[in-house]
Amino acid sequence: MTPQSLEVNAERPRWDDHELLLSENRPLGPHHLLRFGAPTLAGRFRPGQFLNLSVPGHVLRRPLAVLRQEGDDLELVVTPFGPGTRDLVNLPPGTRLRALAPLGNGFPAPEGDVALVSGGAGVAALLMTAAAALERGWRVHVFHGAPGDEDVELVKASYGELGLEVEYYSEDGSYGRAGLPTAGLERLLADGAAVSVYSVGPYGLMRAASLLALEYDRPAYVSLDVHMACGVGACLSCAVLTKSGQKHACVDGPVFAAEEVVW
Amino acid sequence: MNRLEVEFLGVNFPNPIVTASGTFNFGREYAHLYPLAKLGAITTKGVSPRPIAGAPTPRITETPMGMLNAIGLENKGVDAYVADELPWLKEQGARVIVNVFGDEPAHFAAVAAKVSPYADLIEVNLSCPNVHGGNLPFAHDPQAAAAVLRAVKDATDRPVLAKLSPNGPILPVAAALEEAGVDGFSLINTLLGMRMNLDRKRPVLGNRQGGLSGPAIKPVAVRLVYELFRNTDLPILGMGGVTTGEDALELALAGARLVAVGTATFADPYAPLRIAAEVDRLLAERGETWLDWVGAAHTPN
Repeated sequence: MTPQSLEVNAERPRWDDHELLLSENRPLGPHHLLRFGAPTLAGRFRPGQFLNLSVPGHVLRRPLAVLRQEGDDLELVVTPFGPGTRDLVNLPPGTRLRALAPLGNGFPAPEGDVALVSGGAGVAALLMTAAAALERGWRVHVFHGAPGDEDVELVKASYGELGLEVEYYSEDGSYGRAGLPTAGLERLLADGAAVSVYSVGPYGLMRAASLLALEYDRPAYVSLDVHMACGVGACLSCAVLTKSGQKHACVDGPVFAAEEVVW
Repeated sequence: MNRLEVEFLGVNFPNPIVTASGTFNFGREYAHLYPLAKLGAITTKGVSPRPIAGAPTPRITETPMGMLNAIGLENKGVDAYVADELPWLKEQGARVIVNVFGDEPAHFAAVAAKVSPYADLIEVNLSCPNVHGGNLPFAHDPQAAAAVLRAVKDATDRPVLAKLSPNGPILPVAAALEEAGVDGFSLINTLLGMRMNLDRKRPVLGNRQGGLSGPAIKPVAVRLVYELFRNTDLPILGMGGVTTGEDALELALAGARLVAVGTATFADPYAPLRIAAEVDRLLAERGETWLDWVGAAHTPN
């Protein structure tokens, strides 16, 4: 499906190309927290939306979830993965970048208690939903997974800042509980908790969390990370197969209801 | 004075910088940024007789100064575009080049006939496989390419451009197309390439191979436009890695009368207008016009 027009879909935000000034670049284990001054984007992001960030010397931008926005500032989590993200995390403060933003649909606002299931930088796409749920007085359960203890600092700098307790799972047992965060989710759901499940991380994690939620008849949402070029619906790179046909993660997502996705 | 104005196959373009097929969809995504009529023209995403779902993901990956794509020609099929997108695009006052393809000559012709009322020019994508001819792309087989072109010419009263592939012989195909009545050429399409994922020990792209575009291919585009210009009197729409006004002028010198911008638009949605403004400034500094530059590298010293 070609995405609906901006005129037809009033829900879609009017994105533009914005200037960002890097003010802080702080390592958090293998991840980096990048803080930017972005006055023209102040307050523009809904939870789960993203931006498409320029990287000096690279032909394509990089889509990244917004971790936090405070006044004129916004924060991103970047995990060096390929040449582009490696260059991004080496940029010194003072670097000016450009971002197409705000992009994507974002998560629906929580209407009750929530369970967050994250892996790696997936935390970034979930933190604003966690804050929104706390503001409304809902209970927030957090299950985070990693191969080892490498995400401890990231979890402290994100969920920790909101005062949230995190059930941390490491596959090698080096920190928190040994195993996968879906074990915690399953225990919660089996206890009959009436939560909505929000999951962002590796595909396998999101799939497992979604299937569990569906099994217990709870609403669930994921944010799908599919390679994209333009970020705005033109290149058709980020195809996602759903029960209502082929969609594109940049404009129809990145957030999808778990029951809509063909897993 | 308008230094950038250019006539191309009977159509007047306010500037020579157009979007490249597959990089601008049908324009809606960018219509809130600027009036689409300010662009030289929009070349649409390729249109086929029936909807095509496209290739498995990942469909794109970045490469040194370029990118590989294998979208797999995803599109909604001609009827959907004639119903929704093309009438809307014409209402915006934009000049429209409709890119058409199929898997046999009659299919190309059927699409061309349906889109003609909305097309200023038709661009025929010959890089898709000829399913009834050994699955080689039409663009690599002069006779198959000519058969497509004749069918399209019979189906439309609009001028027809043939989009040439750099992955096979260009001059014999161009000669056969000229014989078949083509009105002009566009080139280059992407160069086939591949990138490996070291963790998975497999190609990155779902389709394994993809088309290389971006600044890395610009010298190839300049060379092929230059070679073609020496061998034809028909007008050329040149493209391949254009990111700046200087790049556009290079292609003009080689022989391009219009220049398309593709991959650059992914990183900068304003790129086609920015490049047109840069060309205008470079020409103003020299007191020259765009047409002074078209093919100028071929004039005797």
